[in-house]
Amino acid sequence: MMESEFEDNIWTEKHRPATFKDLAYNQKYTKAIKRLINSQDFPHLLLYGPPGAGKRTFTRCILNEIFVLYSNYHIELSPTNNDSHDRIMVNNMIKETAESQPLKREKTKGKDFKIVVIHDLNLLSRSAQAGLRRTMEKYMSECRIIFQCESLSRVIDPLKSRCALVRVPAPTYDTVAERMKDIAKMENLSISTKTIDMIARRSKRNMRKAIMLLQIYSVNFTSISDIGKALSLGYEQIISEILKDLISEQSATRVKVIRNKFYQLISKGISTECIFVNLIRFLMQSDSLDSNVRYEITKLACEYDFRSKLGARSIFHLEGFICQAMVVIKKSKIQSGYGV
Amino acid sequence: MKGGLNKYFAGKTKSSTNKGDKKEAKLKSPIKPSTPKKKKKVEEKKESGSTPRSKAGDKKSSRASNKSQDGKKSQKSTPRKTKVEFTPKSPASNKEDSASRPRTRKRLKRNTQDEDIDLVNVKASNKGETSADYFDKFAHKEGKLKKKATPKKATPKKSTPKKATPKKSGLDKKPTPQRRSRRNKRVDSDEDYREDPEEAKELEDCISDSLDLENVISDSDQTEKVEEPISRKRKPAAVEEEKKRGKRLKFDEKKVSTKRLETKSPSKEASSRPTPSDPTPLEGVTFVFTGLFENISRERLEKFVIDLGGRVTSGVSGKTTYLITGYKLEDGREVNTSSKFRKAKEKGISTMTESELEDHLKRVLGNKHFTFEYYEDWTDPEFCKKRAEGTLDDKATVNPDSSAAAMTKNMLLTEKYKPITTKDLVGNKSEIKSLSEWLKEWDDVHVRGNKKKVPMSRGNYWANAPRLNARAALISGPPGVGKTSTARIISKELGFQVLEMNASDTRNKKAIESLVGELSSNKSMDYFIQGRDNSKRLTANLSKKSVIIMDEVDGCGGGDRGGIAALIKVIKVTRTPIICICNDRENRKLATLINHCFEAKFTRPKESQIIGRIRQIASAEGLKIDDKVIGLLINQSGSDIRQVITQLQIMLTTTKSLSFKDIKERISRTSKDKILMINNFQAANKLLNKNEFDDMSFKERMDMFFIDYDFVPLLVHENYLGAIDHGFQVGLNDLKRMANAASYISLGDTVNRRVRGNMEWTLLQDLGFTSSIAPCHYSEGQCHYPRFPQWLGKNSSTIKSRRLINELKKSMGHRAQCDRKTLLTEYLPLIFDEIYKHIEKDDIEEAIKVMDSLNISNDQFKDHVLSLLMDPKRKAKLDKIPTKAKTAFTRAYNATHKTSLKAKKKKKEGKDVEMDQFDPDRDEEEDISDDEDSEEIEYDIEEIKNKAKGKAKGKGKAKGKAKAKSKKK
Repeated sequence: MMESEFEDNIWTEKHRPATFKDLAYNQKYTKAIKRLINSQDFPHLLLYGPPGAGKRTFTRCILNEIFVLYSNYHIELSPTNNDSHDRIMVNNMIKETAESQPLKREKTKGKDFKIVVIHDLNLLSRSAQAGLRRTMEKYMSECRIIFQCESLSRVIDPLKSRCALVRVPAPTYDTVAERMKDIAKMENLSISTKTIDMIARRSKRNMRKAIMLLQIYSVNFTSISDIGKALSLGYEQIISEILKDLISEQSATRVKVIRNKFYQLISKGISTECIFVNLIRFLMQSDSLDSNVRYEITKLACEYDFRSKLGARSIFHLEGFICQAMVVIKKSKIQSGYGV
Repeated sequence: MKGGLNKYFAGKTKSSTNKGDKKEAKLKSPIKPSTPKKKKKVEEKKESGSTPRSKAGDKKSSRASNKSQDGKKSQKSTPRKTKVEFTPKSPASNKEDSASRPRTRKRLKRNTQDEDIDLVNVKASNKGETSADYFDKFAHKEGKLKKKATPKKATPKKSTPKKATPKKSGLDKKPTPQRRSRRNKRVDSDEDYREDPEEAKELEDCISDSLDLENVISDSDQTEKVEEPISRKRKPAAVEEEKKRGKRLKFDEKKVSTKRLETKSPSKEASSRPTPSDPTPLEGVTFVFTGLFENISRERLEKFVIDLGGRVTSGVSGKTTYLITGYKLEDGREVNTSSKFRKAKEKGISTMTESELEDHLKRVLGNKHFTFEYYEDWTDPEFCKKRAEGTLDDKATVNPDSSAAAMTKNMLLTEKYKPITTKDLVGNKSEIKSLSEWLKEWDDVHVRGNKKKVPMSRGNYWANAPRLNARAALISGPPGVGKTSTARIISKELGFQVLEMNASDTRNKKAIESLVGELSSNKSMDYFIQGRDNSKRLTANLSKKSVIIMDEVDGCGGGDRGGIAALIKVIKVTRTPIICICNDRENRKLATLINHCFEAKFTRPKESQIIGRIRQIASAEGLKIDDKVIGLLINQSGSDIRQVITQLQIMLTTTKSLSFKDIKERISRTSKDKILMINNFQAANKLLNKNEFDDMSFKERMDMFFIDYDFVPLLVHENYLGAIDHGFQVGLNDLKRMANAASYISLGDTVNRRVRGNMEWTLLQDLGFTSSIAPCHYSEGQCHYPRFPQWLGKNSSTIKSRRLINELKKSMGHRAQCDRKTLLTEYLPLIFDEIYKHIEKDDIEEAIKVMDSLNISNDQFKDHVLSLLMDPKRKAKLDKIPTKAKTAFTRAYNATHKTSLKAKKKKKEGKDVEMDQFDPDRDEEEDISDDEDSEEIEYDIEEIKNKAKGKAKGKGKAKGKAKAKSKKK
C-alpha cells in the first residue's frame, strides 16, 4: 500500500473511513449496498449527493469491500472542465482497462471484473456521456463503472437508466459534530463543544469542509476568540467585500472596483456559480437591506447565473448582475429617504 | 502673358519671405498699381518677363545654327519666329504685347546683334508649316527652355495652334508656382539692371489689365497645371543638351551684362527685394499655437510669424488675437480638446486652422501663391545653397526615371510614379523634415559626440520629449502613407546606402545579431561587388555610409522570438543609423523599442495634399479627371494614395476621361471599403463617444461592429464604464442606463456563445446589437481612447489557474480526494497553513515531510500553491519569514531531493539563458498574470540566487519591470 510510505497530513484523508464498518452514518444505505456487492454480480453504480456527503468515502468503502484497498483492478478518472477530448479519453480508458488482463486474479475475491471510477460525471461533455452508453454495455462483462456526481441534472437519461442510482445524502449537523469530536480526540485537540458547533454550522453539513475547517482551526488558533472571521476562506472574504461594496455605494466607479475583485476570483478559477451562490448566501445573512430588496436581488442573481450558463464570459454576467442590483438598491434607498 | 506676369509677381512675393529681404520690403507699398513705387516694381517684372524670352530666343537660334547641317535654312529663323509669335497671338494679352514686343526686340539687339533678324518678317511668314514641324521636332527642348527661362510664356502659348494634341500642350505648361518662383529668383538677379524708363508707361497700362484678368488667368492656370507632368518626361539626352545650352546662355548674358552689374551692384539686393507689402504685416497681432502642423513645423511657424512682426505667446489671454490650431495635439487627441482651445472659445478669440492661416497670410502678404511648404524651402539654408550652386534638382515631381518610355507603358502606375525625392512625398512634411535632420546629423551626434539639446516645451513630459539623440528612428503610421518610401528616399538623398529587412526576412535574435558584424565594419554590399577593383573600392565605397531600414517591426512575432530585444541591443551600440517602421505604435511589443528611438508619427495626408499629385499623374497618363472626382476617390480610399493610383489605373483601362457621374457609379464597384480604413480601437471609440455615435446611422454603427466582431464587444465591455463614469453624484437614471448597458452586454455574451458554439453565424447581427450597439446607446458617454480589454489577460490567467489546479490534483492524487473546486478553495489554504506552521517554527524537516506526504515539490509549492492562494493574509504571513529561513528551507529541500533537483537545474538553466535576453514577450506573459505573480517571482529569486549566484539577474530585471508596469497601471 502506497500509504505506508507517508503519513497523511490532511485530516480528511487521514480519517477517511476505509470500510463500511467505519462509516459512521448512512447505515441504512450501506447495508443495502453491501448486500448488492456481495452478491455475485452488481450493476454500474451512480452515486450522487451534495458535496461533502461522503460519495468518495462510499466509493472507497465499496472498493475495499470488493478488493483490497488501492488495488490494481480499478482506475479512477476525473474529467476536466471544458475538455473537448473527454469523449475519446473516457472511452479509450475504459476499453483498455477492460481488455487488459488483471495481474493477480485471485485478489479480486472471485469477482471477474475491474472497476472504473469516474468522478464528476456532470463535468463530462454530452458527447462523452453519449459515447459511454455503448461502452458500458460492451464491456459489461469485464468491468463495472462507478460514477459520481453532485447533481444528476447534467447526466443524460440513458446513462441513468444503465446504472443503479444511489443517493448519498449530506450528514446531519449532529453527525458532523460527532465526527469532529472523534477526530479532535484522535488528534489530541482540545476544543469546546461551542466551537465545534460553530464549525459544523459553517460547514453547511459538508463533512469534508467541517474537517478542513477543524484542521485550519487547529493550525492557526489555540483560543476560540474571533473564530468566525479567521475561519473564512480567501474567496469568501472577497465575495463578502464585493457585497459590502455593492450596498455602500452605487456608481460606475464602484462597478469598476467590483469588476477588479471579480477578476481576482475568476482568474484563480472560482466558478461563476460559486460566486453567485456565495453572494446570495451573504446577502441573506446581512440585515442591511429590506427583505423585498433582497429577494429582488436574488431574482436577478438567478437570472444572471442562468445567463452565465448560456454564455462564456462570466465577468459580463457578474457585472450585469451588479449593475442591476445597484439600481434596485438605489431605488430602495431613495424610497426610504436616504438616497441622493 | 498676363498670367505669366502675375505668376511672376507672385513668385517674387514669395521670395520676400526670405529673412534677409525684410528691410527691402519696407520700401514697397501694398499692391496698388497706380503708385509710383508699384510702377517701378512692375516694370521690373515686365522687364524680367521679356528677357527670358529673348534668352530662349538666343538659345534657339544658337541651337538652330548648330544644326544648320540639316540644310533647312528656313528653319534657322523658325525658332525665334515661333517664340515671338506666340505672344501676339494670345488673345488675352494684346495690350501687353504691344508693350513687350518692342522691348523684346531691344533686348535681342542688345544681346546679340547678328541674331536680330527682321522680326516683322518672321512674324508675317510664321504660319507656315515649317514652324510647326520645327516645333514638333524640338518640342521637348523648347518646353524645357521655356520652363527654365520664361515663365511668362506659358499662358500665351496655350492659344497657339500647336496645341493640337494633349501631349504637345503639356509641354507648354506653366511651371508650378514652386518652380516658377525659384526660377524667377534666378532670373531676377540677372535682369534688374535692365530697367528702362521708356517702357514704364506702357507697362503701367498693362498692369491694370493684368490685374483685371487675374480671374481668367487663374482659370487657365488650372487647366494648365493638369498638363504639367508630361514635360518632365524629357529624354535624358535632351536634358543634357539643355544643360550645355544653359551654361552657354549664362555665359552670353554675363558678357553682355557684366558692366551694368558692376555699376549697379546694389540692384542685386533690390532683386531679392520682397513684396510690396508691409514688412511686418502682422505687427500688433498676437498668436497662440496649439498642436502639430502639417506643412511646417511649429517652431518654424512661430519664427515666421515673429519675423513678420507678430507676437507669439504660449498661453491664451485677453490679448491674444488668434489661436492657430494644428491638425492634432502632440498626444494624438483632437485639437478641440486642448485647454487652449477651450479657453479661446470662452474668451471669444477666433481660431484658425493651418490652412486658414495660410489663406490669411496670402491676403496679408498680397501673394496668392504663398504656401508654408514653400516657406520651408526658402528658409532652408541647404536648399538655398544648392540653388546658388545650381545643383538643385528642381525638375520632376513626377517620375523622372522614365528613360525607358516604352517599358513604362505597361508598368503599374504605383511603380511608375513612386516618389523619387522628398518633394514627391505627399503630406507629413514636418515629420519628414525632422527625420531627415535626424539622419543628417546622425554622424555628428553619434560619431563625433555632439549631442543635441532636447527642446522642452511646456507641459511636455520628459518621456514625451523628442529623443533627438537616439541611435534609431521609429516611423509609425497607417499603411499607404509612404513610410517606407520616406525612409528610402531620405537615406538616398543624404547619400546613405540602404540595407533593408522586412517581414519576409527572418528577424529572430540570431539574424539580427549577425547584422552587428556588418554594422561595425560599416560596409554595404557594393563593397563586395565592386571590391575587386582596388582603386574603386577606396574612392567610392569606403566612404559610403549606410543605413538599416527595419520594415514592419511590429510584424516581428512567432518565429522571430527575441527579435525586438536583439534589435534594441543592436541599437544601443550601432555605428549605423537604423530606421524602424511600424504600423501600430501602440503595439505592446514595441513599448521598449520606442524608448530607444527618435519618433516620427505619420498621419494620413489631407485630401487637398493628395489631389495635386493625383492630378499630375492622371494628366501624365492622359486621363482627364475632375478635381471633384479625385476628391471622391481619395475619400473612398481613406486617403490611401497607393489605393487611389491603383484605381486610376483600373479606370485607364477603359476610358480617357471621367466625369463625376461616371465615377460615382464606378466607385461603388472598385472602392476600398471605408470601414476597412478604421481599426478596431477606432471603431469602438466611435461607438463609445456619444457625439460620434449619434452621427452614425444604424447601419454605420453595425459596420463599426463588423470591423472586428471578436474584439469590438470586448472593447465596449472594457470601456463602457469609463465612458459612463459620472463621479459621485449619481442619479437613478444614470444607474439605470448603466444597468441597461451591462444587461445587454451580458445578453450579448449568451448570443456570442450560441454563435460560436453552434455555428449559428446568422445571429451575428443580433450579437452586434446586443454586445456593442445597445450598450453604447445606453452609456451615452465620452471615451478618449479605448483601453485594451483586460478580459483577454484575465482569461488567460484563468486558464493558467485551471492548469495549475489540474497539475496539483494530478500530483496529489488520492491524497486529496475531492474535486478541483474544493481543492482550490479548501485544501489549498489548509496545505499552506500546514507547511507554514513548520517553516515558522523553523522546523524545516517537518515541513518537508508534510510536503512529501502530499507529494508537493518545492517548486509546486511556490508555483502552484502560492499563485493559487487567494487569501492576502496568508501571503502577508509568508513575507514575514526572513529570507534566511527561506533559503535554509530551500537548501534543505534540495539536499533531500537531489535527483529531482538535477532535472530542475537543467530546466532552469535553459530558462535563464532565455531570460537574459530580456525578452519582451516573456515580459508580457508575466504582465498578464496577476499581481500576485510578482510576489511569486520574488520568492523565486531568493531561491535561484542561492542555487546559482548571478543567474538571477534576468529574473530580477523581469520582476523589476513587472513591478514598474503594475505601478504604471
